[in-house]
Amino acid sequence: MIDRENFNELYNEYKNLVYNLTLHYLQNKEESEDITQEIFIKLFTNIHKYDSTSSSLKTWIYRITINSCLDYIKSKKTQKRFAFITSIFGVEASIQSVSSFYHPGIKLEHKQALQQLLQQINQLPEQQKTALILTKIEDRSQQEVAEIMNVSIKAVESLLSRAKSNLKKYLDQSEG
Amino acid sequence: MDFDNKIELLRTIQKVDAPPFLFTRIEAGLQNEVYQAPKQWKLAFVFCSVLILFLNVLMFTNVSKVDSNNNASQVVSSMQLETSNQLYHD
Repeated sequence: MIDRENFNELYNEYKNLVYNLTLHYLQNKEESEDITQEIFIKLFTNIHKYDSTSSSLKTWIYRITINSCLDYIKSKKTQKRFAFITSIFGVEASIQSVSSFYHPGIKLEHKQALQQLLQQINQLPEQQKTALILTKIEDRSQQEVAEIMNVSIKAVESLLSRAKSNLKKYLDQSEG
Repeated sequence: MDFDNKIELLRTIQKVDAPPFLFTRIEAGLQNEVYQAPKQWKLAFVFCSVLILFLNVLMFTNVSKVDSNNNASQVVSSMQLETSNQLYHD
């Protein structure tokens, strides 16, 4: 663990990075706040596991944030499936329905188009989704994305091209 | 709008500031986290409970086996012991 003073510094430096990245993955303000809180608690209790020789602190925080978001999305999907199964057997499940779309970083004039696009991005496989979010929304270079995802630059290029072709397919299907 | 323009729309998403109350929430969360028993301890507790339960069951089954083997009447008959309190026979 680190002391409170250092934690305050860490929080002030990375709060916006973590919060914005969770918003890009979850597209819901309340859920992003909850996950950001969980991530910082995780960072505080697991800081001793950080190895400065293998990656920078920023990269490590990126990885923790991405993994936490992906885990949360997976658990939400499982909850939905469980709710569906229990509803078949007539048991009332108190599982929340699909969370509403609310990304405070999206301008009103782009809201509809971006909501549709982000819904399609949500259908992509995890790796492709992460590569796209980091390069296009977070504006990270392919070198940085490769480091965060722990893959080669070639692999990032390939993930991006597959993500684009899948997205094109999804968008064509939804429009046609 | 063509596909490339749609993708480029992602770049218009602006960065926002984390809500100011979030730090207070995190501090409260950390307070709860500090007072919670670590996961390893919880697992160890569950493991010990299961182990004790298993040993209890094992002991119980063994004792009942021993009881059935040490049948007192078998011993008495094999040693031709008198089990009656009557001192005189008719």
